[in-house]
Amino acid sequence: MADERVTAPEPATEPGASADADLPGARDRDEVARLRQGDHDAFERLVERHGPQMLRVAALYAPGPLAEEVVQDTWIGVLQGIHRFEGRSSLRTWIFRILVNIARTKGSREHRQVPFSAFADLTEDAGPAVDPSRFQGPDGPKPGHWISLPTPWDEFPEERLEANETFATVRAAVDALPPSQREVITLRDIEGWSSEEVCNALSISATNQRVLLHRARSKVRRAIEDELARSA
Amino acid sequence: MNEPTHGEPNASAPDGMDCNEFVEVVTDYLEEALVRTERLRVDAHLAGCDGCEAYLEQMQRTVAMLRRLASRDT
Repeated sequence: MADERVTAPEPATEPGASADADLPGARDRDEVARLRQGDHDAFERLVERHGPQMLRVAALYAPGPLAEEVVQDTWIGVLQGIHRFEGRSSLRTWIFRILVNIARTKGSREHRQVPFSAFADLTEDAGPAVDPSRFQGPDGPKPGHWISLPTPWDEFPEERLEANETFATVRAAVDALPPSQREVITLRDIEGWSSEEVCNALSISATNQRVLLHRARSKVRRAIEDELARSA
Repeated sequence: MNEPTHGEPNASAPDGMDCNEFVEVVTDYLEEALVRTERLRVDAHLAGCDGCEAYLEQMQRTVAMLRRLASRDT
């Protein structure tokens, strides 16, 4: 099932790529060598380690069975491209970069979506982090300051913060985000990637990554706040 | 409802920070992406504002809850 469309991208050349910790790692070098020799066990271990996360990330772009196809195609791309891997980013970053490229192509082709555009999210979705009505106006005693203070969440009982409803709210808030914000918050906060890894995989600048992360986190925070207020 | 406390006399000094500005720089603050002078402005504001202190805690908790979605979703 060789697929000509699948081409592994060149390893990242951004300065940020070399900022990854302990790169190129000894484990990466060892693993790459084994993969190049066609070591089946090494490949299995790689699939086991990254497979579940790859499926979750692929599902960002391509739902259901399509996500599994994306993961399959990524592994083909990895095996075809491993000879060109130069170790300038971590193996994991390189694999996910291939995955994101394939997932974006497949997701937009099968669903006729407009391709994700960080630019559109950056320019068109620039609302404030917090509803302006929560701050005092120019005539208030302290313009720009809170009218009523946010409630610290540690004042809520732990079981409320841990409730399934609260987590369902977080999930729904992430799902409702514009695509670029959803990508960034999923990779950074849900999957726990570093900002370098995210910039690398999505080919965005560190500044744009922070802007998207900020908008995304602010909306999720607001959704949690609303949920806690509703069930109070 | 608590009485808002925005303490510090210099919180509304010309180079002081208002709460509606803080909520827009909180991510840069957490990401340690602010230049030193900006960081000091945030620190000074936080020292005198219980509301923004709470807001910061909410953002940190939001990140922690997101992180735990990965294990809850699967």
